[in-house]
Amino acid sequence: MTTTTHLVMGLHGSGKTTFAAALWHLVDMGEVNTSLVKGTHRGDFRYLESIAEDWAEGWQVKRTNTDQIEPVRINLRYPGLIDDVTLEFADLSGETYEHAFTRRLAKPMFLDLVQQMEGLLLFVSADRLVDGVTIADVAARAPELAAPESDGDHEPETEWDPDKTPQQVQLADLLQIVSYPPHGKRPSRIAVIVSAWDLAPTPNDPDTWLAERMPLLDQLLRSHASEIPYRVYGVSAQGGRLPKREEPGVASDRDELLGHARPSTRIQVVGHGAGQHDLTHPIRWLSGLEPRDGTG
Amino acid sequence: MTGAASVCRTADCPVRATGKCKRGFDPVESCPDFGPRDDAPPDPLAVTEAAFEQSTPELVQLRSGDIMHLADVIQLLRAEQPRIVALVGEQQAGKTTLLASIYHLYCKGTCAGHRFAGSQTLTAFAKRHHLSLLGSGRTVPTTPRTSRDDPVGFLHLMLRPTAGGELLHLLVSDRSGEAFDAARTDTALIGELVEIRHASRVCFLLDGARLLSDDQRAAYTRRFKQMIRALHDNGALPQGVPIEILTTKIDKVINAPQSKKVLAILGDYEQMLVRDFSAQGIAIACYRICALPRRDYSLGYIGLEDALRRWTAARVPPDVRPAPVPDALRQLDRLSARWFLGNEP
Repeated sequence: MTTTTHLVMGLHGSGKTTFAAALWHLVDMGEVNTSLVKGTHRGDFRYLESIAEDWAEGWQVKRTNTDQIEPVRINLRYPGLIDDVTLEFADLSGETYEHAFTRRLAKPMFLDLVQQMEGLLLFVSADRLVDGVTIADVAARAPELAAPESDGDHEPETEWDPDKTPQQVQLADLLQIVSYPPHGKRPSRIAVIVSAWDLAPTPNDPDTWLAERMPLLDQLLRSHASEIPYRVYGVSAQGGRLPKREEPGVASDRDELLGHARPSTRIQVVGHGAGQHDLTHPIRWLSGLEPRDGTG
Repeated sequence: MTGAASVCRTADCPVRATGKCKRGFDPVESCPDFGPRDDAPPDPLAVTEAAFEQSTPELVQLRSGDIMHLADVIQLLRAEQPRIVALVGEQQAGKTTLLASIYHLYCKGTCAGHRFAGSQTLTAFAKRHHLSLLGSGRTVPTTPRTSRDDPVGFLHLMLRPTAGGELLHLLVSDRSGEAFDAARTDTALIGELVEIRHASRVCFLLDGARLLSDDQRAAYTRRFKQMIRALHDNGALPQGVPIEILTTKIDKVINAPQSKKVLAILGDYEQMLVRDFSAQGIAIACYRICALPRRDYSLGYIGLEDALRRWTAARVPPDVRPAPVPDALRQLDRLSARWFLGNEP
């Protein structure tokens, strides 16, 4: 048995935990064809079970504790092979990363995980307002809204708040922190997961979405693609809008999603020839387990 | 980057909120009362950070992402061959705005035939750009002032040609304009302008807005010329390094009622600078830019992409041919000069 360890990175609300929950349901149930299938059921699955329960019941999946690093360890198997590949990744809270950017501090445990990293699963969410919009952007498009320059003389110059830094800038910075010394280690590959893909504007493909919505991050990845290959996938791990368990009355797609005869078909995956519901496709590629002929 | 965000010893001075000095000093740092109050309450953010660090003492400090200091630059010089652009200009000439806008351009996509490939100073860029964001609470974008207390800093960009090729490190200096003023009037201080010594390009920023004022123009243009002269006469301008004059805030000049007159004055002034310094062996090129189009947003950014193209252009390989020997004694040397260097012996 071989063990492959990937680092999962993403800011708060980028869909990391929902992805883990849906992945566990997908491989555990085996309702649809996937690139990798479940291997031996042996290990501590308490965390996965708790989040997969929320997912299966059609509630927003929530991390129980933002301070903890939740281990996710799944035995997967390439169909037709006997050996399992143990996929390990830690479900780190988005706050861990946000803290690293805003306070420039990190827990040693996090840095240990970085050093163990083989591949990197980088999560961004399509369910975000475009950030980084400038006053000049708006004024150029709607000159009637532009304030006279003299108005600026009386406006406050607020302190810089790192929390308000555009997400693509935060992610570009964090990507450099985890990829370069002294604290980082170069990942072998990067799979960018654009979560909440059902909310992305159509027609669109994940690569175009990243280039248009997060151009700085896109450029960073492209610039180093020869040393660190990357792929961009669009993923809707929950399939639509879901309410929080404590707010069941909020308008959502829950009823429609719960009506799926095979819940795994709620999952939508786009890009690089992945099957429509195959969340394991990016993991197979990240783990270097794709067929030798390069298909899929 | 403390600037206007710092507190003032005058109790009811609005400088923290508005950036304006109650006593009318401009820049605000020149006010004798400017600076932290002795009885000022502690910064709540600092308190939170301290509490956080205390509660988790094992936390590891990550690199700051803030400006690079000279020591960092020298370290980079040993490993790479960065392009170092020194920005020289009086206060509010637009040095920091230029830096913020370069960062902004790459946040929007590729620029000047290059794509963003990394930066050790993303935090520093974000700090300089945050008052231009829609979420800043402002209706008119601005740039935080660089404090006179801040040492020279460098902002770093790693770029890769969009057509492929080697990575390029670009470092652009950021220093308070007051330091240049001080060095101009007391040339003993010129040696402290270390960024110029290491520069592969020196850009003098001419504030276009100040040319609009009949009251200010004469004195300002004299000081500007004197600054170049001061650096040259004191051996601060490295030999063979391209020198640029960037006239900033050109949107204000273009949109001014007296635009035609001022543009003509600017043209004459540029010609004079080129002519006068050329006579002293300094090749100067003049360009006009708008790094933050506040007067007329439809104009957009002017000249920035071209500036970046110049700053990132392929280096001309150094001329390693032997220098011709004037009046060489040996016939062989004379022939070498003639045949290989094209000089008449």
